Amino acid sequence: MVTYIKGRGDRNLRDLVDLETGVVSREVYVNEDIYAQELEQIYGRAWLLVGHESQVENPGDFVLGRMGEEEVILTRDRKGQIHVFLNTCRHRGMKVCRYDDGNALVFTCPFHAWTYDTDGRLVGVPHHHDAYFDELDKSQWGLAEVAQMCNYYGSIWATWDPKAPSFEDYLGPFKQTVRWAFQASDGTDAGVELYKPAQRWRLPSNWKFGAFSFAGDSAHAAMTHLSVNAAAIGPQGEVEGGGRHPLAAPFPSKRGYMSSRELGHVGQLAIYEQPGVADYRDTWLLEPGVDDYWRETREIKKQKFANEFLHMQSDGQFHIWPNATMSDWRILMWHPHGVGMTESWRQYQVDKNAPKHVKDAKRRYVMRYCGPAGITESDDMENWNYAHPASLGMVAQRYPYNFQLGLHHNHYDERIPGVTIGDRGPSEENQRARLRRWVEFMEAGSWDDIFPVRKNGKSNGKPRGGNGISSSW
Amino acid sequence: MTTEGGAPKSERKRVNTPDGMFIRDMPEGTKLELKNGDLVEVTLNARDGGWLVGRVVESERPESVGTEDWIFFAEVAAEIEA
Amino acid sequence: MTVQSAETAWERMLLEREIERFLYDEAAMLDERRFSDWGDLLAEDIHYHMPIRRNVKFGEQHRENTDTESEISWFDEGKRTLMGRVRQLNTGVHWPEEPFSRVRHIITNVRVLAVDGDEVEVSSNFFVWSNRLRDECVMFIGTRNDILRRDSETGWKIAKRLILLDQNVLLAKVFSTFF
Ligand code: FES
Ligand SMILES: [Fe+2]
Repeated sequence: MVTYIKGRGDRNLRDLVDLETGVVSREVYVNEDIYAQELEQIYGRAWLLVGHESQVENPGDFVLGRMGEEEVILTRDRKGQIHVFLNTCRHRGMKVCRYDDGNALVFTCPFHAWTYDTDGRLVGVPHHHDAYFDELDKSQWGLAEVAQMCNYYGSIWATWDPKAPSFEDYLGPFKQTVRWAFQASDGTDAGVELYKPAQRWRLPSNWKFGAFSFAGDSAHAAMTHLSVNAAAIGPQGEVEGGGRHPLAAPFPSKRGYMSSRELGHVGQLAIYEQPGVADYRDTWLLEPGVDDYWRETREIKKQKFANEFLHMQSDGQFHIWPNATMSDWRILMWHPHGVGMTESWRQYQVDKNAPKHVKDAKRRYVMRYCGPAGITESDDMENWNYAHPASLGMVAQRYPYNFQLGLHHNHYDERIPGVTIGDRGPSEENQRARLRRWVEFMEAGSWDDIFPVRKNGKSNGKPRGGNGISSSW
Repeated sequence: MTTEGGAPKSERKRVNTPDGMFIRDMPEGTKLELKNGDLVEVTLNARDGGWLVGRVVESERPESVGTEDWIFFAEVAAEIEA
Repeated sequence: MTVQSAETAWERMLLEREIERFLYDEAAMLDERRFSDWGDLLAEDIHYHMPIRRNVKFGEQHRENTDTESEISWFDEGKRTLMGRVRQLNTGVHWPEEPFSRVRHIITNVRVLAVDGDEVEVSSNFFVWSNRLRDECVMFIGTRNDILRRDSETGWKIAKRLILLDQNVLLAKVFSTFF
């Protein structure tokens, strides 16, 4: 399928994204026709992060989530099975759930009272006998459920496309990275829960500013976050200059910008020069007793992985295609909400079994760091916000964005197959990888065209590894 | 008439009529007469003002006695005194 | 209505006037960007809390505002962090407030709810308007419940502030002022 942009003459999307030269038209971020196509081509097709099983611990628990522009209900039915449903009544479209979270026996539509069990079945229709004459087949009119759902170490992902590959295949070389993001600090799989509820707010900017431009954009930190250290928000307080991140012990590693060009997942992660896990370094200097817990769990983790190379473990930040940004302590979601608006969500993991004083200390840290009141993140919001209107103008759109930082300086490393790495200073290779995948999704007629990898590439059906520099299509 | 306990239909004591009846907080165990004449016992209440689950105690249709189904509040004719 | 002596009624009125004046002066400090002066109004042990407001089912209103015990709020912090925010605003490179927005705090419906020794519990409503760069406009409307503490040497201090912002999904991109 060839995708044309209506509106200003028919042009091919590839005219707008030139990754050979690292030049990308602003229209990719601001054109309304492109945005409308994204909802269908990307959000109708990709695996999306919906939430976490800890949000629906008990039968009947539910919480509202989002997939693209649309609201979904994440719920656990009476038999304990987790589901994701579109939050709309099959009769005339009313929202069947208008509570942010809670516990329900059924979802009853307040319009004409059709009612749905937590497993999605339509169980009650007024006048079914006396006016529908028992002719309405309730089994055909249950809530719309996602085509596929995956509980991945506690995190819940879903897609509307029945042809999408399995979630593990979708993650490719990032499957361990995502797994680790839901490990407890002692290395126990599925060992975290999310603090409740999600912070949700509107950022007047295209969703790709968060989801793409933030993907490995360490070049922004120095200037954007110039004011943060004045506030000394890290758990160590004023120690060592009052940085915003916890103190960490050194461990021989090579950090870099890692991207799966084939799949669009990217990260700022590390390759380790030796097996095992770094020592714990005390950092919660303002919160008595907190370091004791992390030190103990780190010891357990060190023993567990003493002989393993944890390449690409989730201690850095990474981005799962298309709109989830994660690390081992926070999850950032960038939901499209119109071409010039993003609904930004923040959720935070914490060890399920951590004692209260540890959970409290970490909770207070994430609240002062992240979100619209975050001392760090509030600076990002201003920059993403005003990049949007300043890109809208007729003249402004003649001038493309520059994505040339580190162009053609990525390479492969046999220790992380399928992933290219840029390890010589800041690089926008991750952002280019996202844009490459973006064009593929936007052009694809179906999943057959984009998985395992693009058809017009030289794929053998597996994500490519090997050496050498390649950024051609 | 098939009966699984309870008074015959004509002797049911109707304590609450559908006009203005409010089922939202009706406790499980409440007995209701439906407009189709069935006597049901509330086994679950969705507490949404619209729906509850009732088990049929008496009915003209013997096969339905003992079955449970969702009941919309507008199908209820009266609450029966316990 | 209990019958009060003229003297108690008079004292109560004076106290209410004094509290109102304190809240208006506080608002002026923020609007005039005298953030360090504002910081001086905070008690050392202040708890400053703005919960997230949930949509909950009837009968579950106790869950409407996120708690400070285990849940995530917009703000849930003490003086150290608040003073960090003050320092950040004063750097001149905190981008959502550089250049400064035009912020106005309208404080109304001031009610002294209780008096306990040196502490008074006060409720007030706020309408905070922020106009930024050319045409960015944001409104925050809500109510506050404060514990104010009288310090014989330095005047009133804010010992506790609960801020109920009347929004669910926040419709502003940041909170770059105080409430
Ligand atoms: S729209 Fe839901 S019952 Fe009519
Ligand atoms: Fe940032």
